[in-house]
Amino acid sequence: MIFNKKDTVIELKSLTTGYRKRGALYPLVGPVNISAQSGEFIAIIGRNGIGKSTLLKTIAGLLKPLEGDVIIKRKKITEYRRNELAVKTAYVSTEQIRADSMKVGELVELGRYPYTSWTGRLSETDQEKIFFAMEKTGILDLRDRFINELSDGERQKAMIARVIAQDTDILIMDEPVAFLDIKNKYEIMHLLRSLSDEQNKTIIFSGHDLTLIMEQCDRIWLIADRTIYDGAPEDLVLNGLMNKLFDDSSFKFSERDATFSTRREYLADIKINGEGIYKFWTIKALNRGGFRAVSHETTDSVTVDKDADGFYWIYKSKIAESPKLRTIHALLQWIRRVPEND
Amino acid sequence: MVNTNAKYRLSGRNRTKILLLTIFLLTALLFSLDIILGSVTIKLKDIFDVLLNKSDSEIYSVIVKFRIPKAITALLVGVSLSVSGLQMQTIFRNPMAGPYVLGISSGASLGVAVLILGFSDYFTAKSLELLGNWSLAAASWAGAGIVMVIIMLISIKIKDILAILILGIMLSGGISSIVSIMQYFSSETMLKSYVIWTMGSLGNVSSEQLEVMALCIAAGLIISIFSLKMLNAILLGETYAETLGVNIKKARILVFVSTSLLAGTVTAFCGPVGFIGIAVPHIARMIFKTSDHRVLLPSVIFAGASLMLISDIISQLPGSERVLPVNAVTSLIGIPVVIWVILKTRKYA
Repeated sequence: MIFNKKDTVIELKSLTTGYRKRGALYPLVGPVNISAQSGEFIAIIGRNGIGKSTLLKTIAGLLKPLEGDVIIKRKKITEYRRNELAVKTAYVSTEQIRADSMKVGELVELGRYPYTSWTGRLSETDQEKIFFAMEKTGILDLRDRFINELSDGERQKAMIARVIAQDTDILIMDEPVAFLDIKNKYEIMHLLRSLSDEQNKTIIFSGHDLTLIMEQCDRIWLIADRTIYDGAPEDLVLNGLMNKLFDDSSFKFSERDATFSTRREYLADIKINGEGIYKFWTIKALNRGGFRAVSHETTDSVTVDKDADGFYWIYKSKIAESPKLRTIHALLQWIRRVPEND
Repeated sequence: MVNTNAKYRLSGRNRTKILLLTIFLLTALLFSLDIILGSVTIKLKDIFDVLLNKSDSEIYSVIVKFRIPKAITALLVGVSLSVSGLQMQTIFRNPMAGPYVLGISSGASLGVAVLILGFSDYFTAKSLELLGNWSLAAASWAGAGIVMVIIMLISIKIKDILAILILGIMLSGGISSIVSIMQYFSSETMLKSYVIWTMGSLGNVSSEQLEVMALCIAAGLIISIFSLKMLNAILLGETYAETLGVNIKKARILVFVSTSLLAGTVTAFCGPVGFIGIAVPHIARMIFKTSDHRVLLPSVIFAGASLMLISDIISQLPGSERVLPVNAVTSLIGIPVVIWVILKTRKYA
């Protein structure tokens, strides 16, 4: 494996981000000092309204820092001219495009805007980059379709194709996989990941899909308490920082399987007899139903096993024993019905 | 890996060329028809005879002094209103934008009203000519420009399509009230000059005025060419346009100067002409199926010219002595298009 040379491409220096309204400053995050290297794939997570978009817009040069500096490739962002920055940083958000008669091809071609002359004529290189971007995102066939006729997933791929065609070292993306189905979320995340791996691009994006982010990103910037907690996903988990995604204690992050669950009193303990994946999902289902799965002997138990017809579940309480239940759904219904049988 | 041999081909180029050629030929045909048809239909052969021999017949004076200037005027009006409509729809990101609907034409009339009713104390009924065509045009630009600035400033704050539309209607209403008040306080001769101007139509443009008009419109068109690339990016919205390196302020200034020149000049010499500016860009997008302003500019130029020539031909009611006001014809053609666009874009409202 060849390691790409790591350069610091983005530096946030005593940066405070936020917004201005009628001359007053409303800081959201900062001051922070943090930097990103080339080829890094960084996810920004945090609650709604915590300042993710504002931070991303500030890094993309769309908002002025309230204090401090954003330094892109050793030069302050405020010292760049708009068209100079456009070949360094590309930006995409969930903002909808309202151009009615724009075709997918035309959208992606606009990614070459910073490179063309005032006539907008595309060179050979431009056309190659456009082709590459559309091929990479798998939208070559959609080229002549109008963007307002696309599905959400297709439209988002076209938007991403545009920033790939822009061919900048830095990609800033505000919720690139919001509103997409699971298949599209995974496809786009893989695509972005491969761009940072293969082309050494620095990608900073925000999102809410924790499982997906933890799986794909080397680095998370978690925004909470008006600062950025920086680290590998695993570091943040082990330091208990994930719980900062909630402001009260009724939810708890499970260090075991990267999920959040409500903290609550369990109705009862149930012993689970069984093995493997069937045991794992049975525990999940019982947890959701309000029962704690334990391994010691209790009055109630659930046994998962297999016979000639396939897997079955048997629920046993001190007063009754269920027949062989063939689905978890049936198991849960049986357990809930038991008190009525008393 | 990247297949470097694979090239990205620009789609639909041949189709665009054929369509442009067709619409150009259509414009040429309509231009000729506009000269031939009228209260008296002139034979094509007679037209060539007259133009080649320059015989001083009655037909000669009808053609050279009346019909050809009128056809050229129609062409110029169609071109400039459509081009300003195209630019405005993109810069305001509003499919309902157009010089007439947003009150730019009213602003131009206000400029003329101020000039005629306010400063023409000494002028007689012939005041318009004494006033000079350039000052008339300049007054129109100023009026158009002021309204354009107001709309631009407000549209930076308010993104809602219908709100901007209502604002345009309010501005038009306000301006016509101001003009009525000015009329109330003005002397009979001034009022007469102004009323003559408001009745201005395609046929009343003198050859000196036509020269001024052609020059100003050419200037407006040349400026619009420099905004084409930027307008393409602005279609994505200002945020994305900015990240692509667009200088939004520069784009706004270019569009502002170009549309004030184009719409202002037309209004100065022909009075307000409605719905061409809003309808033609939509017709062009529908036919050419593109959002690329480098294709749309020539398309709206020819489509606008054609539509205005058609309107002029209809307004002449060929074969009859009567003439309809051209504004009524353009409205009847344009309004169905506008309604279609409202229905189509309802999802954004």
